[in-house]
Amino acid sequence: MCGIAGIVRWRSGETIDPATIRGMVDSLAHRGPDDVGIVCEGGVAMGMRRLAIQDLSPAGHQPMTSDDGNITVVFNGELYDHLDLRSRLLATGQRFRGTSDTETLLHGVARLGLDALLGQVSGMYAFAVLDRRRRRLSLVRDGFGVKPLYLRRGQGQLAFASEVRAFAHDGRGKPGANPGFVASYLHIGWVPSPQTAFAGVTKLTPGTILELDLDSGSETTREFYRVTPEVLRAGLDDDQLLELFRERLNWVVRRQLISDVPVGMFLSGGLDSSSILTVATPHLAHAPRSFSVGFQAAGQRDETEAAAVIARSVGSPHTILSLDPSTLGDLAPLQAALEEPIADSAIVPLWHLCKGTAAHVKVALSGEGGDEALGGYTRYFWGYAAAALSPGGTLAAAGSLTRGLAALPAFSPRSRGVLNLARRVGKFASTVRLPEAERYLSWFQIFNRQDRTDLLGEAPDEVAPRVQQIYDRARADGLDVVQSMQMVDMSNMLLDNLLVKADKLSMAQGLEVRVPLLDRKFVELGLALPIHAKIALRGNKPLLRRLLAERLPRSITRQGKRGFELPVDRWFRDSSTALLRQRMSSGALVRNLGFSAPAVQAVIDRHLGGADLGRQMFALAMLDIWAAQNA
Amino acid sequence: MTESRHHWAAPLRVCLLHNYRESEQISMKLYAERLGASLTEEGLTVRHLLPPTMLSSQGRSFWAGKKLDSYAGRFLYYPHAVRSMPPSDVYHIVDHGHAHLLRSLDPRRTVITCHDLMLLVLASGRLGRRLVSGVALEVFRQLAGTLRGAAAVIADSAQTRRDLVQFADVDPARIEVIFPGMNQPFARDPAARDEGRRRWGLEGCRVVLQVGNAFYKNLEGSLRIIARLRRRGVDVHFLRGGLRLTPEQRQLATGLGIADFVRDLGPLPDRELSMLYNAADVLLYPSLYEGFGWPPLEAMACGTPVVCSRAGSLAEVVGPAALTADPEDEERLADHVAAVLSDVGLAAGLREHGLRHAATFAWSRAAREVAGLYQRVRESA
Repeated sequence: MCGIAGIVRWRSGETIDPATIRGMVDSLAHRGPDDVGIVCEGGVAMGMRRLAIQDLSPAGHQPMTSDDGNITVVFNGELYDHLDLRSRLLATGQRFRGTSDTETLLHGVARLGLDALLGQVSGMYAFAVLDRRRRRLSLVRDGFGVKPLYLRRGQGQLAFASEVRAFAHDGRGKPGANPGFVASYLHIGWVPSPQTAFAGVTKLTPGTILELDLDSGSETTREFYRVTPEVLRAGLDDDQLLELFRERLNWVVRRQLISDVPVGMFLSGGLDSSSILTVATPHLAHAPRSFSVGFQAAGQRDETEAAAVIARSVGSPHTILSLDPSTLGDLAPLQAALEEPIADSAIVPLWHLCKGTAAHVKVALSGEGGDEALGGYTRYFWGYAAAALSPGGTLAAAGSLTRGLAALPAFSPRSRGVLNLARRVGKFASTVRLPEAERYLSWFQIFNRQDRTDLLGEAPDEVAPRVQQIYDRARADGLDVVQSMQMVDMSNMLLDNLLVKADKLSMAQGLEVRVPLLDRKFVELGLALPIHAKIALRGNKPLLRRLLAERLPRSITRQGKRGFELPVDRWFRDSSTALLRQRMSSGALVRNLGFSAPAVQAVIDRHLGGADLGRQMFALAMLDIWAAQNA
Repeated sequence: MTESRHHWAAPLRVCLLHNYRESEQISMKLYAERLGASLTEEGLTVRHLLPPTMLSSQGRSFWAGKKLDSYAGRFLYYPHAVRSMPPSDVYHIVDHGHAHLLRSLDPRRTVITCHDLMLLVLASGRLGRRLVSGVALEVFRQLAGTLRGAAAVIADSAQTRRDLVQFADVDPARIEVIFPGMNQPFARDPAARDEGRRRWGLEGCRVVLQVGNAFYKNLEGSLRIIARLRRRGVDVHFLRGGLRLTPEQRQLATGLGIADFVRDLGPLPDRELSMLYNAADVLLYPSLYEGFGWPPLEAMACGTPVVCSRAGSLAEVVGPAALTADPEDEERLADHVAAVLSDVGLAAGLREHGLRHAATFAWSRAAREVAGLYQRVRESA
């Protein structure tokens, strides 16, 4: 795991000063404190900062060049099954200097070509391959976008980097703000790919190869991976499905334990991280350390108690990192690490979790992606029900009932018991008759259309058409309602929110986070599972619950889905955030992004007046900090 | 051989403690015999302790007699025999299944070989959900715990060493990984290849072989891989040596549509095993776990390319001379087999690497390493 960067200039006579690539690479030092390397020749330069995980010896140094001097690679990420390919290369006489996956990649590209190689490796990665003979630079990003790769084009140059901050040193000046993202951000709370919050900077689409001609700067892009459901044997009963699932989980977790340094585990107390810990432990010489994060105050609802039970059950030395619930703390360092704003208060505990974990291990496995892979979000249940009730659905006749239910008052998201059920039913009923893309977006919506217009004026919001496009493609591929939602999630919230924060917040601390439940073999199986194996009245992910019931107490396996509930609403009413509130209505939001000061103040006033607008306040606060830092 | 002999200050006397009723565990019998012979060539004085059985073969012909002989003979009668034998500089229990003998010996002078900790591996859940007999597990736990008291433990592989540390809490400093030598004389033999193919009706066929009996050999995986290959249009036959397929396995083969392409030979005598390896184009060995894993090396010694899993010790044992993948990755294993069958250069490379690699598993090398360990044990006793 590393930070990589590079530049190609194709204007005649324009070369690159080694200090330029060095500056880019040094700006990524937090991603790779163990080693640094650059290659700079004429109009091409590449470099990397290394966090040494596989092959700690100098043989793992990058950039790495083939024996004949033709191919050079810089690689960020992990290839979990590279030894399979290595065995094939060894049999054909290839010699290796060390044991790193980068070296397998290098020789694999040289021997097989890039496309053939990509068909033979699994992992999370972003890398660049310089082919001197063909005068090509190829940029590649893994199929789910676990690892980032940013691009900046212009003035006869293409620069790439693991983080946007590196472009400030690419010789073309610091990227400015891209005001075009703000409307989308206010709608859903993140910056949808491929655009970014920065002008002229985009993200390479996951599962694609960008090939650049070194002499002309002409580009071609091609897809090398698109997730599709596995074809399951016909007639599998539930027990056979469980066995298949067990073997697959065992496989993907086991292969992601490949490491020359100790591996730790994020343990939330939920099903996904629990399953990873229980499956991984027998494969390791010692039970891995596990880490969870919670609140200091007694009586606060968090999952650390459940996490401690799970850790004890497998003998894992467990560390609970405690947050002080009385204060929001300083969000500026988090936003600086994220680079782009994300309106998700879960970044606060994740930041502390990464920090606390990095003090003990360099690698941690996380359950991220499990909900997308296995249909774990409750919205899959509601989405399935809505599709059945909507016109043309199997229960369309009962759909008219939902009109009455839609009139239920909008209770607070913090309601409990009957009120919470009424809130969910009412919210569900109000979405039944919406087009599916709008229904999907309604589950994330931070500011409604009117609020967005009030705050920002009329601005194009490209989210809905993009989501609809993914739905259309899923339908064209013959996917069912739940599979379509899984696909939409993977290309939206997972890609642009969950994976961004997992990468940026961990790498800011020099910690590698692995996501075994996003192993392509696991996701392909998850997509293929029948609907009843994904969603159920007694809790989604029934297969995972059955599997864990063999090892863990019922209290764990029967629990409902819980998010990490931060008291953001309370924080934004507290006197400790008074300065932040003041800044929101008169600071960078208004000055740099052109927000309407009265509209911002109106949101604040409504919140202080008792409306539960914690999410909206958090979204504005993060955007304000981002604008102050970047716009 | 003579050049590599150790020249001890005083001749080292070692006693090899064979297994009780070792005729029922041929591999352990061969381990003791081959090691003993090679140690003698190294200049050591080797004594073999082969306990007579407590009951006669007639007494063991009944179920109760067999059980009595099995437990009382192994755990009471054999230790008694050990206590009455003359002293040696070093004692070597050749199988961890007899680790209880340590209590009848001077532990400071005793070395035990551990071949694998399969029962403890199973109980850990590493291989998924597998039922393990409670009594057998407890007995095994006790035996594994005894290993902690030995002066040194020889592990057949680094994987077994890791298991010893993880499951038996043995001090890693006391464990030495020494690959054993190959017990049978396997060799490339084109005549045997022709004869085997003629005998088993496989002339002109592309043949994938699997041998071995235990569940973790993953015969079901092999059947699925063969089916996958045939679906891809690779005309391949599956040759199976070892216990006959179970009804469930036959049903699986039928369900996969490959029953007509499976040749289930059943158990074969050792002399025919070499013919079997020679007759095959590829050995497929997708084990879920191994403490060592002989068949890939035996196939290599016969010049047969090997495609195997990387589970347990296999990756370290086959080294760079086989194509490997995760045992669950049947697609990749099928890719490997297809590549070997279609790429003459790849098959030749594997054959060449395999022959060279298998030759390193010689008892002379193992005996030198074991003798060095004995010497260190004697010096620190």
